[in-house]
Amino acid sequence: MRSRSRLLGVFLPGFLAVVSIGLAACGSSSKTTSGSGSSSGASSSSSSGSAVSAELAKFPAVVHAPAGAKKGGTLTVLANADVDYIDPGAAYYQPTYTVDLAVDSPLMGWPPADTAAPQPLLASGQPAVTDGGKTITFKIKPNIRYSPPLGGGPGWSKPVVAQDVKYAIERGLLPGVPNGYLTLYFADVQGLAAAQAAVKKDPKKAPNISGITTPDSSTIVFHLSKPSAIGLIDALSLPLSSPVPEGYAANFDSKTPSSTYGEHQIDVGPYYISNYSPGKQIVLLRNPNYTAGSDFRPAYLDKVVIQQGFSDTNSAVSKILTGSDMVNFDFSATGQSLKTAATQYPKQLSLSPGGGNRYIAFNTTKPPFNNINTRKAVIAAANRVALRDTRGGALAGGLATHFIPPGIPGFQQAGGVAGPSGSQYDFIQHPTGDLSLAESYMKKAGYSSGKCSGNCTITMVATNVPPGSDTAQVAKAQFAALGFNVQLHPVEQAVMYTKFCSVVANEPNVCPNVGWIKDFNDGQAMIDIPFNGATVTGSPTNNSNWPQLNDPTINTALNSAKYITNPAQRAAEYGKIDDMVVALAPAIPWIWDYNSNVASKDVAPVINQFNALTDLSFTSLK
Amino acid sequence: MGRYIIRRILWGIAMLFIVSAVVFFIFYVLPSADPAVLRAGRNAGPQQIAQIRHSLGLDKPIWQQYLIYVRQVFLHFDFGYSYQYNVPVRQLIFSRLPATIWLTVGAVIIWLALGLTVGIISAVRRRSIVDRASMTTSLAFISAPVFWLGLVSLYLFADDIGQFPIFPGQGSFASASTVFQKAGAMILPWCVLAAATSAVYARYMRASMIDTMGEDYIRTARAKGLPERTVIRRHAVRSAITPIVTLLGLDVGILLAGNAILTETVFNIPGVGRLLYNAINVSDLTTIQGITLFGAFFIVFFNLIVDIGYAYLDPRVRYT
Repeated sequence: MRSRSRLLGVFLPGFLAVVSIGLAACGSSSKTTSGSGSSSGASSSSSSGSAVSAELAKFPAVVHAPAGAKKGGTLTVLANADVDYIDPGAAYYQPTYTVDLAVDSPLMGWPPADTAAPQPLLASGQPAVTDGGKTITFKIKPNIRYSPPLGGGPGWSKPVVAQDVKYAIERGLLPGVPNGYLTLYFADVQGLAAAQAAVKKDPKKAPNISGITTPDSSTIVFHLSKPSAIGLIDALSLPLSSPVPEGYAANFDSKTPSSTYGEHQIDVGPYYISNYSPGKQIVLLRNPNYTAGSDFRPAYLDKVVIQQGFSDTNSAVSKILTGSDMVNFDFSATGQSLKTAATQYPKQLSLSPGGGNRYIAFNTTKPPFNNINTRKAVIAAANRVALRDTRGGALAGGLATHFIPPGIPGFQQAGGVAGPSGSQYDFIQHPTGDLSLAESYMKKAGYSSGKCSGNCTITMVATNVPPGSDTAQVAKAQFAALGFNVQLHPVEQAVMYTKFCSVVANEPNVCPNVGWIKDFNDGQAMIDIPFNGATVTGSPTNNSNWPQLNDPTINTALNSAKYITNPAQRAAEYGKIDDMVVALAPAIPWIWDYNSNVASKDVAPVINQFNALTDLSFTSLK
Repeated sequence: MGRYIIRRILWGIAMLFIVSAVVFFIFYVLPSADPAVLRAGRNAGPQQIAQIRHSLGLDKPIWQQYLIYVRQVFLHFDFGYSYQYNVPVRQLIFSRLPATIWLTVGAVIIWLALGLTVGIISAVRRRSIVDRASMTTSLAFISAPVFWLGLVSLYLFADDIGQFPIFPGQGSFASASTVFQKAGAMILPWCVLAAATSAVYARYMRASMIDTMGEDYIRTARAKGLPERTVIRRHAVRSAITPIVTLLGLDVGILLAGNAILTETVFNIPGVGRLLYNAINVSDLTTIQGITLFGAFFIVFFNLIVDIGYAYLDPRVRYT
């Protein structure tokens, strides 16, 4: 799916073309699927209480380690490609987070079963939010110690202090630590702009962010200019806030143009990176300085070896299913391998909601889709089941009826699996399409025959590789059913974004291969950028609001919702906004992806619902 | 002989300079986009790109850029820095070279043993059923793409995903720790890589042998009453194998230069070829550029070895 990070769209095309046949992502999930769906498989306990689809129930993701899980052993993790950055300050890719979740300790973290809110990890408890949501105070746990360094050397013998967390965040502004989300989620932290200006003058030294203070060695305080505490607390679950001692890292960070701290990093999680061969393998070993029980991670395995280069993911899936001690990393079982897994190895397959959606975006700024009734007509006619079949059918994901996917707060409030109810939403309530309803909307749009007449040529720019190209072909046929003459232009995935769909001036009438995946479980992370009018004006050449929706009511609602600090109210508000977006029919939502994970028969995998990938700290061997 | 070797070495160095100029032109001058952006990796910001531009000397005139580039490559053996992996390209290549050497050495042994034997037998038994069968088979192997052969062999014989599991399959080399495990994991890749090449060598050897067998000195040897086996082994093969030496030198250089890209990718062997494949996929231009130059070095080096070996085998060469 498309990234939240604007930078990714610019600098990642080559990477995405390989890694994500589907759509881009920031903190993106794996390639051909990015999931969504209910956060509760049969064994999961979703706090969002979303409904469980039949497929999720049939192949449930285990989210708790089995009682008496075996300790020890080596797990081999098969990967197609490398992590995006080994440096936790720059990591912005869900499979990388799988490594980070095992070796790092951000202030907050996500136990596998939790999807509603992050839990304290390095923090000793939930943060104190004061000053109307504008001050956040964390206490960090005492006596947390660093691992031996990657690549050898003396390491760092002092325990973690709050200043290490402050430095870890500040170094994210260095040009040599190209963090993709700091300026987005920390925008309301006081002094951020001044720090950005300072680092331009001295790109070798991490600048001071005055709004982050450390009154003592165990306390870190965030001072915000606006009451956006919830969003920031969620963002503090990302690897950036994992401690990095300045005394150790400053020398590596002063290297230009790229910091070398990642290759010499010291970790505080239950594991540490003992060997990293770029593009070949990553080896995790137990952190000898980690105190068992100091956080929620049980860490059963002795060693994890992530082997890269399995570009033929179908045979990699077969290898995992028929072999021993293996799980998948950055790819999912898809197509034939998914069917094989589902029929022959059902106990080794799990489906999880991945927190993403896919939709066909209309350009709402120019005819014919500047007319809301025309858009509703196309949505009413759309056979979303047929669209979903292009990605593998029901095993690939849930049928989308709105934009916030299952597992994200706001999903139920937006109507859950069934979607928004009421006659004003009738156009989205027919999974296989309703041509007569569509024709009625076409008539309202001014087409007296119920079909397009006159100038009915529309342009559609799509990816040129399956399954996205298949989706585009099916979409084309569905548009044609209402009389549209679709000029379909298949191009490379990266070109589709960087030359057409994300360039406001060049956007075609329809972009059929777009979608979004969350950074963390919050409504803001799901629908703010893709539907806020400010996105269009803010990034005219790297726009992620593909429908170019710029509705003042929705903009106002989005700009207010991010400052709601009460979780229930926040979920309700984002659910409401989701329905408001659906009512304007800017796109055809058609799938909430599942992540399909596979494991060898002697592995007891635990899937973390935060990123729908195997949690290395909870997984064990049987 | 000494002058000949010096001349060849100087020519090899000149060739490397020419290659470096071509590589420089392709990677620095031709790209329509900013070379610094192309090298910068994924999330790089404007400031980091500016630093890369400066570190590459892209803010200097072209001729100065070339001098900097040549100085780095030839004096410091520095092929640049991969911002994709955040390590020097030289380090990346050297970390991958052992796997490629494993693959190359094994495949060379197989294709020489197979190709030369078949070529000699075909030449000696010209137009026999054995000759026709072996030449038809070799044509089939030459025509079969390596990636196809690789995938078919995995489908048939890999121990985990194969229909007739015999040999370790995809990714096994990466997880092998002992020499025996590594050799076991290499059997399929060796056979696949050797299949097409041994077919080529068989046809070359056959043609060369047929030419040689028609020479006067072979007739003389036979007239002297030497046994046919001796005629073939001592006189015909020794002479006919000379062009094969040239071919072998180039092939080894090319393979070490990363041209086993398809075999390494299909079998997930972490060698230079797969590094090149990954670099192409993620547009890691510095790594592609480094491997290209590194490959040129290998090819020139092995060419030099071949030239010297040739001169040793055939004195006439030294005076030409």
